Amino acid sequence: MNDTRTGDIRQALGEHDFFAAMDPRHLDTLAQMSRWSDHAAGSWLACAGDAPDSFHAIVRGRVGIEITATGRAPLVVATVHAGDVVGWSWFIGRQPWQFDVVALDDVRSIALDVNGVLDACDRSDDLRDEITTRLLRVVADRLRSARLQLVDLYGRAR
Amino acid sequence: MAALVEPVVGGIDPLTPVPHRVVAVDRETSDVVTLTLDPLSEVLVPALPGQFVMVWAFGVGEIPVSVSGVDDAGRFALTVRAVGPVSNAVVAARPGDTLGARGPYGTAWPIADAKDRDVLVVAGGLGLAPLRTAIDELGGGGPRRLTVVVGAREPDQVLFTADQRRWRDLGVDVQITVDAASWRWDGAVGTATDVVARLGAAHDIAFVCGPELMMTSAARAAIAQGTDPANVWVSLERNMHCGIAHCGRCQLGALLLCRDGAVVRWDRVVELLRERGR
Ligand SMILES: Cc1cc2nc3c(=O)[nH]c(=O)nc-3n(C[C@H](O)[C@H](O)[C@H](O)COP(=O)(O)OP(=O)(O)OC[C@H]3O[C@@H](n4cnc5c(N)ncnc54)[C@H](O)[C@@H]3O)c2cc1C
Repeated sequence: MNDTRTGDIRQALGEHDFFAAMDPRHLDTLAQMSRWSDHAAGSWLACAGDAPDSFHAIVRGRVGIEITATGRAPLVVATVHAGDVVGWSWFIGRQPWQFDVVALDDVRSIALDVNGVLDACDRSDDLRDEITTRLLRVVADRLRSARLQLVDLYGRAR
Repeated sequence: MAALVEPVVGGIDPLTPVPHRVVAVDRETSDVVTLTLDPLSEVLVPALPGQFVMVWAFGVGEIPVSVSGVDDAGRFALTVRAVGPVSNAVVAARPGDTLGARGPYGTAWPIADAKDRDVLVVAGGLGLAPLRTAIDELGGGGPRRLTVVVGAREPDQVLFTADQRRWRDLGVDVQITVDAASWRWDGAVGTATDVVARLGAAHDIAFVCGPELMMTSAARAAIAQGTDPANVWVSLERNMHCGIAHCGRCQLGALLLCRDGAVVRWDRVVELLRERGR
């Protein structure tokens, strides 16, 4: 899928850290289900409970993973930066978005169609393995960070 | 505060605190203040970046505190969080009050080794205090490239914001991350380790200071990016009493941290830190 106004999405996928060194055939497949997605600062990429239609490979800007609870100000608990992806619950039984995702800057992402990717994984075990391994790495990093954040690292003891 | 000065007024008994007047108290966060102390009699040897002094709150007790600023008139700054009896008394000091201080003690960040190299500084919470004078020196020239990563619980817990602006003006890449924030926060949210991992570049040398869990995690991230473990330096704190390697209170393996630390090479302590409860 070529978008002459905004650059070659296949090339952008290949240059994105999440897809680094992926088999070019898989990148060709994924490019067919990808589109550019632009979000003004302050707008939402997804809201908790939304059906999982796409996940985003961030190309420019920061997004915040945000928790909103009644009676409390919304809290950003993680920022996701260029080179990373946001959204992985879709991969586990097409679960809906678990948190709000807000653009903290003007954000450009590559939005990958979740149904298309899952169908492609059904057709190729190798692609499924690739996506599983890469998403697992993201989940492991987020889990490590969440655990460290939980213990109030910087609190009383230094 | 300005750069280090010529030493020394010598001959001070290493165990006798020297009286100092508190001449300024700057509130950094809700429970952290920076005190500026002015010597009333003898002048202590100026602390090298990373060294600490033993501070007396008369009638309460004595604690080790890193020197977070020095000037050429013998004044120095201490940045203290109130956590218990002595630190509470130190934080409660007002201009005109007297505190005792002896030292400086311990090892320093190897600033000379950073010349013409790509340098990474990672500070978590109050860990920025013992790195402040190091960054002042490094920011004044020396490294080829200097990246400073600062981690804090929340935006209002970030220390030395005015210094950070100054460091940026000197060309230092300062990146701040907090554990949680509102939208108004324009830095990152996540751990200092996340930021180090995102840098995506090997640094020639890394100075890391903060809570031990954070230091361990950030040091590993720096090493994973390609920094040689022998060029990663951390600052370790253990309960210290004498400050002169006599009492053994601060022993870690073969090291007495008041003398052989607090600044130590990562590869010399990594195995010791893996032992539970040490
Ligand atoms: C080399 C060195 C440099 C230090 N630099 C600074 C500094 O720049 N600013 C600062 O505020 N503090 C610093 N500290 C820590 C400071 O010495 C302690 O906070 C202080 O000793 C606590 O004494 P207290 O009587 O106030 O409380 P205590 O009753 O002794 O302790 C109160 C609580 O703090 C914990 N605690 C005590 N000491 C430490 C420590 N070293 N690390 C983690 N937790 C501790 C105790 O476990 C207890 O839970 C440094 C410590 C060392 C060893």
